[in-house]
Amino acid sequence: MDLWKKMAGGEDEAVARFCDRYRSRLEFICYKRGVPRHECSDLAQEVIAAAACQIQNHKFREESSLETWLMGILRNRIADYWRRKSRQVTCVPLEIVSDGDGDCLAAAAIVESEAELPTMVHQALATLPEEHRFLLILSAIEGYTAREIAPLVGRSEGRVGALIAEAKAMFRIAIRRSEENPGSRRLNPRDE
Amino acid sequence: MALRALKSTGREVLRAASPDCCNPEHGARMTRYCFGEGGEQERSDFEEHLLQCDGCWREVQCLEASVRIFRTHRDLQCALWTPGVIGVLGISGRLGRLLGGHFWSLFVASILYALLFALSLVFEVACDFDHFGRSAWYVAVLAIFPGVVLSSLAGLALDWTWTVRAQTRGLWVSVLVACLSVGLVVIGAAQFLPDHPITLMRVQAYPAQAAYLKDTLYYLPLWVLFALIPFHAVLTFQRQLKNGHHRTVLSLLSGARDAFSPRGCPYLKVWHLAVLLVTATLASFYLTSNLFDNLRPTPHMNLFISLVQTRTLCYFALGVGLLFWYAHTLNEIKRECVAALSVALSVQRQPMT
Repeated sequence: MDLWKKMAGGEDEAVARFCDRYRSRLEFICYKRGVPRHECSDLAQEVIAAAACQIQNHKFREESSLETWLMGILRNRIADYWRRKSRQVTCVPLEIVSDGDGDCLAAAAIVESEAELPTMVHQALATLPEEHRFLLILSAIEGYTAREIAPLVGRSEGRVGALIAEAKAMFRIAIRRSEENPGSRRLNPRDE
Repeated sequence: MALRALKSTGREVLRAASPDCCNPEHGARMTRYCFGEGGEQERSDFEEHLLQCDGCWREVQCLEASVRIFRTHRDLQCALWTPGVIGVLGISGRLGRLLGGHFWSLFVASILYALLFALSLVFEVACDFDHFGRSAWYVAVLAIFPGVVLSSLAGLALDWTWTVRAQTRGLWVSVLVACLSVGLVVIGAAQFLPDHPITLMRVQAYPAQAAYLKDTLYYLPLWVLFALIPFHAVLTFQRQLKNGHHRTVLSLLSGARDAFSPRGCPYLKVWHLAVLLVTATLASFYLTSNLFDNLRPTPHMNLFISLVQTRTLCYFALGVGLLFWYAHTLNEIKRECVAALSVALSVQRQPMT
């Protein structure tokens, strides 16, 4: 039986499972949509609470998928959040600001807590061909556009754009492989 | 290896989604999402998918954290600026391009070189222009000029192909091609030129065929010494840099005593060539003035002198142009060596934590 049907039937365990399944994802999406890290958790909690309440009150009528419906609620909550924010001036403690965008999410922190992550990223980048790696560095770290890179490397703008997209895809696959084979990681590739 | 195989099928790489995901189209969307790209609609669609798909959610968490580390981790960024990466911007990164990235310089040089052969053919018959002039222009423009341009570029291309594959005989192949093409030009010109002197002089003049052969013997050493040998040296240095031998190349270019040139690569210094060019200039002044002093007046004397002067101009333009190209390219190679070595040094000092 679907999770929402169990929730509608009043099963408390289903509500807990619903919360487990979607909370971290909703937090993540909030963060990706620019909500400050210390607000993501509250906002996700609001969405979960609103959704659970509506499901239990049989207001979810399965006119769309549960996820589409949840996204609708999340979008509205985020819009409300920004409307609220535009009306108020708040003092943000300096320590929150100085943390930057870095370690924001409970979900991402699961991976981040691994001290090996920089090494894993380094190894993933090492598997890329030199030109791809170079273009990825210029594009993702230095912030150059394909138009700016093209004259530097003597290629057309379109070709540079294609190579950057290819490099990003290769990076993603290399990261996935590192995750699938954690035993293959070394502390420092230069130790070999 | 697996990534290389994937690279050959670029589109598949871009689209490869999470193995647990039912929709292969989400691979490219996930990449764009984690790198902060894509339009609002695409982001919304992917976020909706993210709520449904456990495989993509796991991968997105990992990729998002990796991208953030990639963008913010300072030690990692230092470690990424390797000499190999520097080479992509430098001259060694151009080795795979046509003629190692020197096509246009060498194309112009080939045109000047071919112009020498074409002009020589015309001025050797200029004194009897009414008789030979029209056909001389046709032969020069339609046969000799394009033939020499193509053969000289072919010789350079062969050298480039062999040197890129780390074979040391590329230089000798290109010299052989240059000699063969000159031989063919001389044989071809001999079919057209008369075997008696045409230029009227106070001293004994060469027959037209022998005079043309003498001219080509001035041009061939210029091409070998100023184009083929430097080009081969530059290609070899580019390959050396690509293989990470920055210190060896820098030692050689800086004139270190214990430096040695790579196998099959005679290395001529710029000042060696400059001395040769100055010597050739002085000799040319003497020989040309001697030629003009001994010339007997003819109706086409003006044409003859103009063509000889133009030939001399092309000859020195070719020499000076190639000399500047060589000096500039060696300087670029040095610059890349210094950059790569300084990067390597800083990476050694800051091991990735």
